[in-house]
Amino acid sequence: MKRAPVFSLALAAASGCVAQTGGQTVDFQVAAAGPADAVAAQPLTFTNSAGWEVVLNQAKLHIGAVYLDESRPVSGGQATGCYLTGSYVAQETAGLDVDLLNPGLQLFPAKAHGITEPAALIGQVWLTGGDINASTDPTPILVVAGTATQAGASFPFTGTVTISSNRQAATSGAAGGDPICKARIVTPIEAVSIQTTGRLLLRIDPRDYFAGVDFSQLPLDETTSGYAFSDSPSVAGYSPTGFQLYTNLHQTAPYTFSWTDLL
Amino acid sequence: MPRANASELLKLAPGILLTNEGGEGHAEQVFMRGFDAREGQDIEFSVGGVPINESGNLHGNGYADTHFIIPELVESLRVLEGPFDPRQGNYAVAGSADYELGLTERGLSARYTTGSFGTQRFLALWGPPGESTHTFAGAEIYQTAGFGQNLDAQRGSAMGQYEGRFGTTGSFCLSTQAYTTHFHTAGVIREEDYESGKIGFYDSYDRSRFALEAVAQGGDASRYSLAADIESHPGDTVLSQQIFIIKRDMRLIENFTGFLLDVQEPLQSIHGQRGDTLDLNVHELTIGARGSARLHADAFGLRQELELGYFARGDQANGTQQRLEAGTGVPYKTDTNLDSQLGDIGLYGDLNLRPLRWLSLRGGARAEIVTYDVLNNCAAQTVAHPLTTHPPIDQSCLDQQNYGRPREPDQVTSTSGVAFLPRASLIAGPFRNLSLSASYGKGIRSVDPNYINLGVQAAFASITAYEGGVAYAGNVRSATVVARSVVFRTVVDRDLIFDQTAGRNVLGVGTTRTGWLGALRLTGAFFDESANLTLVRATYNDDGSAVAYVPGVVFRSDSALFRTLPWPVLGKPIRTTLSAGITYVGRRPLPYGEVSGTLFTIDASASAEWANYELRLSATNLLDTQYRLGEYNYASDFHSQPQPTLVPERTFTAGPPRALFLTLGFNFGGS
Repeated sequence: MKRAPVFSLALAAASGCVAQTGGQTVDFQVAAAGPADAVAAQPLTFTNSAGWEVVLNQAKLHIGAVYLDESRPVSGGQATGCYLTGSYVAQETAGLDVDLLNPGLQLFPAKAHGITEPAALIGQVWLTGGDINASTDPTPILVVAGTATQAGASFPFTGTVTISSNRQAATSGAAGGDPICKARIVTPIEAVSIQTTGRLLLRIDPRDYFAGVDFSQLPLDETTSGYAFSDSPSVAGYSPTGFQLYTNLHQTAPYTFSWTDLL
Repeated sequence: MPRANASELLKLAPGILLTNEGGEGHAEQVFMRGFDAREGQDIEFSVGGVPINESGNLHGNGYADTHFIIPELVESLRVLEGPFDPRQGNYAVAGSADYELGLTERGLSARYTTGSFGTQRFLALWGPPGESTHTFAGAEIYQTAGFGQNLDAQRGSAMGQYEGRFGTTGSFCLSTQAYTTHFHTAGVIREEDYESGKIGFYDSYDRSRFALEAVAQGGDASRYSLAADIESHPGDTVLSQQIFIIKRDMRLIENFTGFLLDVQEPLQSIHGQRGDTLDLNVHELTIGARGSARLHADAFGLRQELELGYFARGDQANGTQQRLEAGTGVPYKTDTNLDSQLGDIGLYGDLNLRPLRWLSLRGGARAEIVTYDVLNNCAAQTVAHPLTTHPPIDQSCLDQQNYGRPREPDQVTSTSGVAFLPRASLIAGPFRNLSLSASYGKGIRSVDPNYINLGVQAAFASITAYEGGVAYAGNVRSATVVARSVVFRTVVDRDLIFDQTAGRNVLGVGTTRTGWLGALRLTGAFFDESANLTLVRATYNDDGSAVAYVPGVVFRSDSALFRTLPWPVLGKPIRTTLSAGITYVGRRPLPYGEVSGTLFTIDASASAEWANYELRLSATNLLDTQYRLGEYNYASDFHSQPQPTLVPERTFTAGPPRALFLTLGFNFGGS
């Protein structure tokens, strides 16, 4: 039976009910992990798209923050903006060093904050050790080590990627240039909607970082007698391998968001 | 209860909640009948018929700052709920409030108040004996250090009025008023930052180490006005005419979002977040008049009345809004720069027919025209394809169109709208002290000139309101009882919704309020009790979800006990008064499914008068409750964490803690 409006109001007031505006605000845990088929404490072996057999002994990624947003970027819009348009619906602002060879869930040190409506469409992974706009940041964002083999030739390698003044484009101080923050954000990653229970999982597959890399092009590292990805775009050995690793780090392919009930 | 300002008198009307996130010189935010009227945009405010709502105020069209009114000079406050009276004009959405000025205490009075947080107030009032209560002068000087960081304020106000007579039935009244203030405001606090100890409950980000502002939030305001009224009674007619001129200036510096909105744009030099501080400046000149002729005649053995009247105002308003760099206070972007010429003329006819002794039909119709002529000095702010050889870098107001075609940065837009507003009330009774009433009315609220500039052609939002009620007025033993119960419904086709990024309410979708209010007034030889309760549900018309920030339950009680003590001193009696004001506000829905906390405060006062002297001790928030006066849920980033906080989060403005004030006063020369 339909109640009279005034009676409903009185009933609502007496019971302490408050009309709802829609959606819900939630705090939840966020975890990061390596690929599900990796084995903890063991190297990850794979063949990259250039035909190299790679044994990856170390892969660590520093994540400064994770954000989910309701809007998909419009092609050509916000050409130099670092923030997405629309409303951000989830944020994890506590940083984490992720062991990419470990398939187990590695929890961020603080809970994330989010809203269930509107639904998240796009994710951002912030690769920064501090202020996203800081001109310098000495934090090693990606650290890798392993051995690549092809046709009997073996290339032990190391690599450390930083996103600091070394990534500041020469024209970026001028209008229309690339601000340093753009170099520190991976987006648009397909996102998942926030639920009222469970946690957000970000899986990162380090194999995608080496897509297309011809390890024979790696410059020698005189300190280790091996080979090393260059972290300095201004030096001769940076291209093509250093450039490829840095570029692949910013592709969305290695990153997958899911919502999980796993502990 | 003593009132700190004229706005607080509104609390005597049912269903009214006052909040203020903007500081002591910022207009009170008024919630009435389920409307978040913000700074009065949904209530038609006037003082002695002179409008207070500011047409063209960039912070909110219809912004109404009543702080210039010295509360001791308010003789009465007439609050009309809903738009049911044809005299009610623009902004009468939730209702209207008219302050009538007067000074019953004749002679020379002076009061000095001192109290918590370095608060001091000097007040002088003068009412020449033998003259009308509408002849007076008064002035106040006020200052406070504020109950928290960045909450200091200073203000001065002066009001004068002279009522004289001419002929046998004519009277005239000249009024003048001056007001100026400088104040600061703490702004909002993110709940998470308070919970984690990064900032105190009564602190301000402006003074924090992580979000320090070179220019702290706050502002300045001033208002100067002149008005003249004339009234005559030739035969069975009452003729009245009023003219007024108002000069109003305001600066408001606010930051609701911290460091969030200054995203890198393609035509800007590379920058980080420079801060979202809004520096809003408004300069207005209002000239207007109102007049009416009221006729009465007898028919059916009863008095019948007809009133024809008009209201007219013209407003010249300049409004600018810039964004300030946090570190330096230097403006880095112009959001808005408008010069508006606004017109508003209303014509009404009001009938008060009594065909039977127990039946009254009141109402009539109002026609209103509002016109806009808006010069936007910053009409072009984006260009998709700028001239590649000469791009407009870091310019707020552009002088080129797509592909570099030149243009002037300014542009004029004009529009107008006419509304026909029928209004009627049917009152039956009294039957054994009970009266029944039913009302219907339509009202309007003119839109912000900024929307005219953005291409919104409709000059106003329309309101349709219904109301039905029963009232009782009689005596129970020695007490006079006045009680009423009212159900109401108000539908707005385009409502104002708070937008923290703009720092004000913006035009949104339609809404509906459905509610009930009950009010009781008990008056006796030694007591006076006024209590009211309002229940309301405010929903959006499109999806039925709740309108955020609107309280569903508001309860207010004002109680006073007064008696003369049986122990005279030097042969003169001591008159004492004890009073208390209780406010309860239920939980308010917030965006994204959140709800606010409840509010419960008690204010109290005790006073004694002997001979020509008065001593009063008053306390606000007697229980020293730590409460959140305003609560919000939106994205903000005040650099309290290493990475930006971009997701909607609870924020609040702190309500004042317990404060004690002592007032000493005297009166000489009174009758």
